[in-house]
Amino acid sequence: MKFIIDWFKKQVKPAQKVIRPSLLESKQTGSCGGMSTTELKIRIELILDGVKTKDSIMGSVTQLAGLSHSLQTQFLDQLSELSELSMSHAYSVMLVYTPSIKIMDSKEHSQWIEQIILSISSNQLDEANSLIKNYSQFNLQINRSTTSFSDVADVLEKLIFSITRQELALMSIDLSANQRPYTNGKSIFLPESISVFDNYQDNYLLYKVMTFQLLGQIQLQTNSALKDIEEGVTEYGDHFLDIFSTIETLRINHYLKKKFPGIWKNILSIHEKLTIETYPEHIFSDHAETSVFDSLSWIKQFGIKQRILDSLPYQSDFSPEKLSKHTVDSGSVQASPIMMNIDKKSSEITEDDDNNQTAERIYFKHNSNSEPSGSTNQPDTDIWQNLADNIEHHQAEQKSLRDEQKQNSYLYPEWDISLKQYRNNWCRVEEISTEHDIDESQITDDIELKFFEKRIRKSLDLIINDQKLIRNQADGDDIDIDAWVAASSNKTKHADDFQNIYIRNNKNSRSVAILFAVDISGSTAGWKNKIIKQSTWLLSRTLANLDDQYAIYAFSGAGRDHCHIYPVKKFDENYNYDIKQRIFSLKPQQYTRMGAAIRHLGKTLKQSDAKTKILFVLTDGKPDDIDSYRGDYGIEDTRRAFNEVKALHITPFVLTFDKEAMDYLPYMLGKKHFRLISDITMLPIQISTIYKQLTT
Amino acid sequence: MNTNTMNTNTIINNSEYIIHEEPYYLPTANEVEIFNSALAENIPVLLKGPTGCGKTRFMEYMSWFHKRPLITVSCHDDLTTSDLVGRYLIKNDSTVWQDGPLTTAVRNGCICYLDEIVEARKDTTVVIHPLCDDRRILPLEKLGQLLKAAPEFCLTMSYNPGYQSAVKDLKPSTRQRFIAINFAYPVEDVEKTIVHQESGLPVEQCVHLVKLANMTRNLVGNGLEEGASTRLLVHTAKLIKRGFEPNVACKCGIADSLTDDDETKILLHEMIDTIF
Ligand SMILES: Nc1ncnc2c1ncn2[C@@H]1O[C@H](COP(=O)(O)OP(=O)(O)OP(=O)(O)O)[C@@H](O)[C@H]1O
Ligand SMILES: [Mg+2]
Repeated sequence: MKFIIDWFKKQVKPAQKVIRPSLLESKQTGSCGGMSTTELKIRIELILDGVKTKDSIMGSVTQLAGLSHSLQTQFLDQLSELSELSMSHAYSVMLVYTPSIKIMDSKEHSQWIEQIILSISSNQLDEANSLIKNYSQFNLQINRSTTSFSDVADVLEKLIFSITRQELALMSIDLSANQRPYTNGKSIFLPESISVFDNYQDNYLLYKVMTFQLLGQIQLQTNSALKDIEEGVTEYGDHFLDIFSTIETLRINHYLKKKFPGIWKNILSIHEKLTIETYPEHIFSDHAETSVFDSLSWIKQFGIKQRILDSLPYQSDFSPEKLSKHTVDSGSVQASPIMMNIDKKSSEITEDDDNNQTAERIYFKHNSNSEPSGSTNQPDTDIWQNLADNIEHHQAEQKSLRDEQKQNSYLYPEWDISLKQYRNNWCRVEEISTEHDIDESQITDDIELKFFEKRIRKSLDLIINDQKLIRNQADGDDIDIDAWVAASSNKTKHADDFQNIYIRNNKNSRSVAILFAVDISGSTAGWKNKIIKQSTWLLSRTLANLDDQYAIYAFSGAGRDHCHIYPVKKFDENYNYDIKQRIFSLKPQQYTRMGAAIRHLGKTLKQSDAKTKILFVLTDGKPDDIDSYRGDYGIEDTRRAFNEVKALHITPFVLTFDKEAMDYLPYMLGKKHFRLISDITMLPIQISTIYKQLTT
Repeated sequence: MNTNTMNTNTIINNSEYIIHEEPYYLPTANEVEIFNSALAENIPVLLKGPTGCGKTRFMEYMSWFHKRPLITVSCHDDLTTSDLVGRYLIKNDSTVWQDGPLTTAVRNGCICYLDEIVEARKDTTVVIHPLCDDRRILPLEKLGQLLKAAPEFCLTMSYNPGYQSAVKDLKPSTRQRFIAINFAYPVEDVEKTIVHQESGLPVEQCVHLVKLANMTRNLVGNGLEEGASTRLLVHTAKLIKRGFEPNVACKCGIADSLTDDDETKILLHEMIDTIF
C-alpha cells in the first residue's frame, strides 16, 4: 500500500506548455487527384460570375490547384456559400484561401469562414473585411487551450459504438458543480469543457481516457458492489470512497491496458505530462480477470488508513449515489472474485493472516447477492458478451429517443423574388412514411389499366432493346466476329456480306435513375388525383421490368414549416404489391410548396450513381401554399429550384394534367421539359416519346 | 454430329489449372462438409459473403483437396455468352472453334468458378441453367452441339449480397439451382490464427488487428460500406511484420483502404489509436 500512497503524494498538476504539432502535415496527405487549374478556374468563374477581370484570379487558382481534392471541394462549397451573401467578400476570401489554410488547422479554418459569414449576414462588413485581411492573426485570437464537450462528443460516441455496438449516449455535465465524470450504464456524463492542458490535443486525450474509464466501469461492473460500497461509506465516510475510487480506477486502468493498449499509452502520456509518478502496475496480476470485489478486498486487507489520496485527473465519480443510477441489471451477471497477485512484500507488512483474508472474501461474496447456483468458481471470461446481453434492451430505448430528436426533417432555402435573395433555412421538409389503409375495391378497377400497361410496356420495350449491343453494323466499336465468320464461310460470296461486320455498343448509355415526385395537394382532388395515381402506377409498373432504378415520393404540406414528403417506393425497394397499395392510398392532402419538395427530392436523387438522373414530377402544376407561396413568388421559387436541380445534373420533367399550367410551365422549366396529358388514354402514346427523349 | 475436326484447340493442358501445393485454408464453419456433399451429389454451389472473407481461397483449397483443376472466370458486365462458351476464331482464312473457359471445364471435368456472378449480364447467366439442373448439359449453339458434362465437372459461383443494387440481383431461376454456402468473417479466434499464419506476425498483435477489424465492422452503415476484411488484415499484418509501426500500417492498410471520406477517416484513426 505504501508505494501507492507515495505515488499519490507526488502528484502535482502544473499546466505544461506543449508544442502543438503542425497540422499542415495531416492536411497534405492524399493530395493527389486534385482539380486542375483549368477546371478550378472555370468553377470559380461560375461561382463568382464575372466579378473583376479574368487575369486577377489566375495567381490564386494556381495556388489552389496544389491543394488536395477534398480541400478544393470544400473551398468551392464555401466560396459559393459566401458568394450568395456577397460577391466581393467571396472574391477576397478566394485570394487568401490557400495561405490561410496553410497556417490554420481545419477546425480553426472553418471557424474563420463561419465568422466571416456571420459578420456579413449581420451586415458588419468592416468586421468581415478585417477578418479576411488579418487571417494570419485569427488563430491567435481564438482560445485554443480549452477543449469543449461538443467538439469531441461525436467522435467519442461513434468510437464507443464501434466497440460495444451499444448506443451509449454522451452527455455533458456542469463543471461549476465540480462534478467528476460518471455513468448510469446508458449514458456517459463528461465535463462540459476541459482545460487541464494548454492545447486541444492533450485535453482531448483526457476526454478520451475519461470515456474509456467509464466504459471500463460499465464493462467491469463496478456497480455490482453497490451495497458494499454504501456500507463502506457509512462506516468510514469519505476516506473509504476516496481510497476505493482510486483503487478501482487503477483496476480499470489495468483492464484498459490489456484491452486497449492505445488508451493505455494515452494514460501514460497524461501521467507523464502531469508528472504523476510511475504507475504501480504489479498490484493486479496480468492474466487474471478482476472484479470490483478484488478492489474491495484490497482495501479491507490493508485497512482504511487516514490518508487522503489525491485523485487521478481522469478519475470518475464512484459515489454510491452515482453508482445507484445504473439502470443495467447487473444482478443477473456473476461477479467473480479472483485472487489477486498481491505483492509478497506488502502482504508481509499487514497483520492479516491468510484465514482472515479468506473470511473477508466470503463476506464480500455473500453480500454481492450475485451468486448463481452451481458454477461459483467460473470466472467471467467474456465480459464483453455479458455487457452486450445486459444492455441490449436499453439500446432500443436509446434509439427511439434519438429518432424523436432527429425526426427526419431537413431545412432548405427558398428564393424570395421580391428580395431577389435566398431566405436561408426557410422550409422544413419532413419525410413521413406512408401507411396504406386502402380497401381492395379501389384497386380493382384496373382492368382498363392492364391494357394500357401492355401498350406502354410494348413501346418501352422498343426503346430498351434499341439500347443493347447492335450487331451487323456498317460501323462500330468492335468487329462482329460472328458476322465476319458468317460472311467468310458463305459459299457464294457477296461483296455486301463484308460490309456490316461491326458491333455498336450502346449498353453503357443505359444507366438511368428516375424519381417520381407525385403532387398530392388538395388542388388535385377529384379526377386529377385519380389520373395522377393511375399514371404513377402505370409508369412504376412498367419501369419495374426495366433495368432502371426508380423511386416514388409524394409531396404536399401546409406552410414552410410543414413541407411533407411521403416516400412510396425508395430506390432500394423492389416493386411489390405493397407499393401498389401505397400508390392507390395516396389521398389529396393540403398545399403544394413545390420548391422545397424539388430541392429535397433533387438531393435524394443526387445520391444515385446512375448516369442519367430524372426528376419526374406529376402535378396539376400550381405551386400554392399558405403564407403567400403563390403567384409570382411560388413560380419564381419553383423555377429557381428546378434550375438548382439541373445544376446537379438532374433532368427535371413535369407531367401535368391541367391546361392552365401551360401558361407558366414553359417559363418554369424551359422547352421540352414538360408534357400535358388530359386523359389517361394518352399516356401510352406519350410515354414512349417522353421516355426516349429523356433517357437518350 | 461430327465435330472432331473442329476441336483441335480444345484439349487443355490440364496441369495449368491444377493446384499442386496445399493452399492454407482454415475452415470457419461446416463449409467443407457441405461442399463435399454437394460435389458428391453433383449440385452446383453458390458462395455468398463479403469481400476478402476467403471465398476464392476456399475454392483453391477444395480444388487441391479433390485434385480437380480449377478454372476461374471473373465476371464483368461485358461478359458475353461467347466469352464463357467459346467462339470461332479466324486462322489462315478459315475458322476454328475455340472453347471458352466454361466449355473447357465441362469437357475436362474441372471445377468452374464464376467469381462475382451478379456482375455478368443477365443473358449470359442463363447459359448455365441447363448445366445446373439434372440434365448437366451445355448447349453449344454455334456448333450445334449438346455437350454432356464430365462427371467430375462442378460449377460454383460467388457473389456479395451486400452492395448490389436491386437492379443487379440474381434471378430466382438462377438462384434456386444452387446450394448456398454463407461465408462470414471468421470468429475472432479463427481469424487471428489466419492472420497469424498468412503474415507470420506474432499472435498477440494479430488479436489486436482482429479487434480493430471488428470495430470497423460495427460501423457498417454508419459511414462505412464494408468493414475491414480478413484480406486487409493480412495485408496490414504483413506491413507490420516488415517493421512498420502498427499505427502507420493500420492507417494505410485499413483506414485509407476503407474510406475516402475525411470524417470517417478521423474516426478510423481514433479506433486505431485506441487499439495500438
Ligand atoms: N478461412 C481462411 N483460411 C485461410 N485464409 C483466409 C481465410 N479467410 C480469409 N483468408 C485470407 O483472406 C484473403 C482473401 O481471401 P479471398 O481472396 O479468398 O477473398 P474472397 O472472399 O474471394 O474476396 P472477394 O469477394 O473480394 O473476391 C486470403 O488471401 C487469405 O489470406
Ligand atoms: Mg475472390
